[in-house]
Amino acid sequence: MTAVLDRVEATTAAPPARRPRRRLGDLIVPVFAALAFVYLMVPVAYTVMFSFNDAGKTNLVWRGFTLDNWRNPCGAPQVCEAFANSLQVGVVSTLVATALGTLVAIALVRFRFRGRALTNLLIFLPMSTPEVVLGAALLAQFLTLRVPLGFGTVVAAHVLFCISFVVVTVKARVSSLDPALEEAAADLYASPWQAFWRVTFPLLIPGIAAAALLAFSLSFDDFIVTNFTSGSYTTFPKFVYVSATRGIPPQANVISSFMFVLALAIVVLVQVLGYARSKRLRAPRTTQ
Amino acid sequence: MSIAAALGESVSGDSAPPPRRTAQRAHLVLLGPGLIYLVLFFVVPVGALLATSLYVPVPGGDVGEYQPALHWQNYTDAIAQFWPAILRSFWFAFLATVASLVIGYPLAYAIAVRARGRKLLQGLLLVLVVAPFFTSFILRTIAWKQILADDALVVTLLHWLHLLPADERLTATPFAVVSGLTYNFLPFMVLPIFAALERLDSRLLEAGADLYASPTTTFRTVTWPLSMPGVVAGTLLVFIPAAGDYVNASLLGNNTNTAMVGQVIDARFFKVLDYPTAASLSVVLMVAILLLVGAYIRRSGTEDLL
Amino acid sequence: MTTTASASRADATGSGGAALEIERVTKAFGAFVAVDDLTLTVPSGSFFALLGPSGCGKTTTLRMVAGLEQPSAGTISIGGRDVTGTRAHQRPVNTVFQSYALFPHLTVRENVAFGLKRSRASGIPGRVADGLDLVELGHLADRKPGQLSGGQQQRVALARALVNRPALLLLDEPLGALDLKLRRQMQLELKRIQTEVGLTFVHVTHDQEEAMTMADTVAVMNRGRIEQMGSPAELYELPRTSFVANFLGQSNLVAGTVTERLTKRGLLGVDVRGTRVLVPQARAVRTEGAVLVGARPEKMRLLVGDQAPGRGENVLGPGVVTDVSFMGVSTQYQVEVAGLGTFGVFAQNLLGGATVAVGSTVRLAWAVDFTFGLDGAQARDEGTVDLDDEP
Repeated sequence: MTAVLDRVEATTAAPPARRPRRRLGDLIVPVFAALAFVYLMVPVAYTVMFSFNDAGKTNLVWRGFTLDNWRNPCGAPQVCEAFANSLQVGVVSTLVATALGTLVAIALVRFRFRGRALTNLLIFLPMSTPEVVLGAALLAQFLTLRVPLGFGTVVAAHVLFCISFVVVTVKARVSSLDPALEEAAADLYASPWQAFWRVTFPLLIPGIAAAALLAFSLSFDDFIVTNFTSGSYTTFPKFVYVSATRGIPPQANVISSFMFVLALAIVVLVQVLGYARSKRLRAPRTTQ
Repeated sequence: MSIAAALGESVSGDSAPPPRRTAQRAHLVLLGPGLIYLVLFFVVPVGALLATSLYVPVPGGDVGEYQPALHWQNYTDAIAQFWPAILRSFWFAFLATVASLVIGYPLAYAIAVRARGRKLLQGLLLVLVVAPFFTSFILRTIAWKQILADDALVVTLLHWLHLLPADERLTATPFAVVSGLTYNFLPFMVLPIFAALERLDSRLLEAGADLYASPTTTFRTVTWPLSMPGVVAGTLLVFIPAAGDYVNASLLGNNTNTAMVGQVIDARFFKVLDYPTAASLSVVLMVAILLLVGAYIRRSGTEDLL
Repeated sequence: MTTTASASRADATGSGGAALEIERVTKAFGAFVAVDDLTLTVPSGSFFALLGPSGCGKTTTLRMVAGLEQPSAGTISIGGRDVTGTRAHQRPVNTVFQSYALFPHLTVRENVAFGLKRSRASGIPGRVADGLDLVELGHLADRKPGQLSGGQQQRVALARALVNRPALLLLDEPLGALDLKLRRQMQLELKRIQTEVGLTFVHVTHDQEEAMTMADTVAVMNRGRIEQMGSPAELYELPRTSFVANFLGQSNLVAGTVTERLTKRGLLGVDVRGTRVLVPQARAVRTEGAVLVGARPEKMRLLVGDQAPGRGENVLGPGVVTDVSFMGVSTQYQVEVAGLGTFGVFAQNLLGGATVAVGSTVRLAWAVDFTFGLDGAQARDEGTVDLDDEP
């Protein structure tokens, strides 16, 4: 509860003190930041721009503006199939990784047990292993066991590298929960099961949602591990990489730009709604 | 303190919740599925990788047919043949890490400290930082190829300003590869530093000023040390994937003086079907990174980061 | 399980709270013994305070009663039923947590209804409304806890526990997070509510003033054991250990040896560095050997110059006044007596202002009847407030 209070207090804190005088030095950081944003955005702008390119076979040089690619995003062979595969892999891996990772995160924060250090190490290692090694290890395993490569092996690999990120994200949320909340639920006659579903889980939802989004974006955009574990199965990043040598169809840019705009819109909307909500929540306090 | 110890039980007397009874073994139910998964798809595969790294070709067999052995010479052969690529990987990853720190720290500082108190602005700026992730990693890398192309704006401008000799180019150079790596992993640097700076109590800075520190001194003695956990996390999040990356090297590089170890592993696996060499190189890469990361975490004294 | 809980809750409602019996309970965390062979009975309907410094085992005791910890040994009974081994949600007990632990995702109304819903009680909306009225928060029922002030959150936490009509209400430093003024106000309000609902309250606190204002019975805990138990006045006027003497208010303690027994007058003669001090035998823990002789600062007065002590007064000194603090209603003097240490003396400002200046030579006098004797083996400063220990 004090955490909530602190947050409310932090947001209602006095407005930042006005600086006595603007000096030239004060501008260095904002200007630098603006340049950094330009740096971050230019390649994205290129990607979006080239989705409107009237490209022939290769989409490397600007040949003129057209809407054809957007009218017919599946016009190039395989591009939409690869996209659909990526969505499928992303959704399945996210569901599995989020479920497994959330449970582990709760156990790590709420219980003291033998082997906790080992568990933490097991979570940390996949994150500190380069993708190429993860891919090579999984491929070595699949080759040894003669597992046919395809959708299943790709999902198995994606779940692996997503779990650790889910654990870390959800763990942060669980640690920020006052353990007294669960005790209060137990004290108010809630069985452990009821306490979890009525108190812990609802309070973890923001963390779990963040973890799921992270897992999905990691999975959806993964190339290296996918390349090792997919055999002839094609995901969107793999399709783009493979076609890079003979020319990427502009439809790939269309799909990528579409995803970009969609994700951006959702995230900005969440930000604005969250801000409006926190403002509304704050309002009544000031009247007291 | 080793990583394992660092990851261990927090010392008693900290603010951790009081020890719970584990008689119900509830933690086993929670941990079980996840840990079994990690064992099956991480521990066992790494074992398979180790085993593969010692395989020898089946005598008289086809290309790509190997049999179990303990052929340690695979390692010495792989290192002898590919040490330039291994060293180059770490060098490029190091350069990219330094570059992202130089670009990322001020950016994180601007968002966390300068925009403090303006929640909406902060939120939107953070969205902008991660926005590149919403487009395809590979398409962005290809966009860099276009941006740095011989007849594109950047190179023309540099030639015109005589900052780049007329016969030099940017594509297919180490510069292109490092800038691609920097670009692709920059958000991983910004986010943890932002998180650390955001937690920093602005009253500490005021206290610094109150105790006669100039802004520069306050930064050096208060802000920077307190943001250290974020810097360590950020550098790891950039360095590790950069060291193993081969997309940037293969799309932006030239194969002769830009080849990174990831490219070699990929090629050994898929083009030459030389699994033992690929596996030994993977093991070398993994061990090298774990040693570096362990030493780094220990030196920076931020074990609790994990 | 919920049925057993509600069944005993129904019993409790009739009798207005149930008695709590703790018998020979020990709780160890590894090598650390938090609660050491504790036996305690809280009669039903009483307001009971467990008072002690942080780390004395009071919160652990409370958590064991709530079912949030299990004792390593011993039994806990509520209303005559042994509940040892049952878990928190199975006990007819509710707690007001130190951090309040209000569910941030639920409204005030939903928070208060939480326990009733779990035990499938009937007439929930009415009981929730009554509970909120009791703490005068009916108008805020649809707010989220984050939108309430500290005092309001505290009252919601109280209502959330009370609506269940528990056999036993546990309060874990519930006023710790409030500022001084609000705390005083809430102390009175809690007392009013306890009288109104007639439940058994067990209140854990490190604030001796809070314990004394609210509780009928106070148990002073130290190092996992109960040092002394009794009404606030008993504890204050007749402390039985140096810890209680120092922790509950202030005390002047000096070491001495029993030299004579005046059995007829019921007094002990104690030699304190060459001065004879009398202690009523009934107020002494020991009647021979080394003792600590004590008196409260407000029982002492200063003798200036040749001023003679009254009949039946002990005298010590001379000493030098080292500090004078004017406190409004009283003046607080520090007197240094060579070989005996520093004494505190509170004098009511009946004549207005301080009458003795720093540096004056004075003697100390106090009524024999208010003198108490403690075990000389105990440390003189046991239980004094150490600034580093303040929670």
